[in-house]
Amino acid sequence: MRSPTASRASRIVGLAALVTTAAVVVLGGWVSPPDEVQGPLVRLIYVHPALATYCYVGFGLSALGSLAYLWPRTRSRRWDRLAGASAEVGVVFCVGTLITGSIWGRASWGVWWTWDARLTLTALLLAVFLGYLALRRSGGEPDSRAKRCAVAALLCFIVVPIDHEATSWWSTLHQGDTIGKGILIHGLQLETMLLSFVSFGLIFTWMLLHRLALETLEDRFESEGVVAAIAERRAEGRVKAPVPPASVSAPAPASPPAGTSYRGEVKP
Amino acid sequence: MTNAYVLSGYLAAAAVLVLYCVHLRHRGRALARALGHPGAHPAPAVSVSSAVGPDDLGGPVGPGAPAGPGGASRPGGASRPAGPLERPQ
Repeated sequence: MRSPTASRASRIVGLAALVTTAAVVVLGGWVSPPDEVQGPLVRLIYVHPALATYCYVGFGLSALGSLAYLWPRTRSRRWDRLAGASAEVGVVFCVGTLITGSIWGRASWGVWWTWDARLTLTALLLAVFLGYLALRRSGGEPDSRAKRCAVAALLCFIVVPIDHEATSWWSTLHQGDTIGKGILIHGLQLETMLLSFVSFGLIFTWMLLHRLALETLEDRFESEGVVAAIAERRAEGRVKAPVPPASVSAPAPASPPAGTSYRGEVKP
Repeated sequence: MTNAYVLSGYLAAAAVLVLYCVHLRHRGRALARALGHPGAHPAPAVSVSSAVGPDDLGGPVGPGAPAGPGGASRPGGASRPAGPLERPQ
C-alpha cells in the first residue's frame, strides 16, 4: 500500500537521502583515513555531530513555529503543526545523539556516561522536549492547547544555546567544535563530514515532511472523529428511544431542527 | 570499519532512525484507515461514541446532573446526555 503521508517531494528527498547516506557509510566506514589521536574511532564523527546538529535544528524549528503561532499576524494551525512535527523529529535525533555519543564516550573515556556539562544538558534537552510532546497530547480545545504548547516550546528552547555553548563555558570532557571557529580536520575527512551533514539533513527533511503530513491527518481525525461520534450518538438515541404514549399522535422529529442543540429528549 | 564501537555507533544511529520511520508508517496507515482513505484496509468496526464528551452532545452539565455509565464524567457533574429512559421525572 502506498504510504498515506508520502508526497512527490518526500519521495525525491528520500531517494537523495538514501544515496548520500550510502556514500557517507562507504566513505566514513572504509575510505577516509583514521585519525592520528583517535584512530578508527574518528569514523563516529560522520554520524554523531550531524545527529546533534539536526537535533538542534528540530528544536529550533519548533521554537520558530511556536513563535509564529503566538504572533497574532501569523497565527495559523500550520505553524503549530510545524512546531510539533519538528520537535518530535528533533527528539529522535537527540536520542540518536545520546546513544552514539555514549558509545564514543565508552571507547574514548572508558565510561558510557558521565555528568559532564554537555552530556547533562543534552539529556535535559531530551527530557524537556519529551515533556513538550506529552503536553501536546493533553486534551482541551485545540487553540488553547496550541497556545500553551507554543509557550512551552519557547521555554524548552532556552536549553539549546546553553547546551551548544557548554564546551566553551565550562571545562568539559566533551571536545569542542570540530567545525566552528576553526576547522580541525582536512581533506577527505572534512569532505566526508560535510557530506554527512547533507545526508542527515536530507533524512531530517524527509522525516519532517512525513511527520507534517501525519500531523495534518491527526488534525483531520480529531475534527472528523468528533463529528462522526456525535452522529453515531444521535443515531443511537433515535434507535433506542422508546416512543412515549403521548407522542403517538404527535411524533417527535427524526432529527433535531437545524441550529438547535441535541439533548436526546423527546417532547411529549 | 573494523572497530566494534564504530560499527555499534553506525548501527545504533540506523536503528533509531529506522524505528522512527516504521512508527511513522504504522501511524500513517492507522490514521488513513480510520479516515477511510482510498486504498486503505478497512478498519475494524469500533464504536467511538464513548469517546465523546457531554459537551459535544449538549447533555446536562452542572452539580445536579446525573452521572451516566456511557459518558465521560467530569468535575461539575457532567455526564452523558439524559435519554428518554433516564430523563428526570
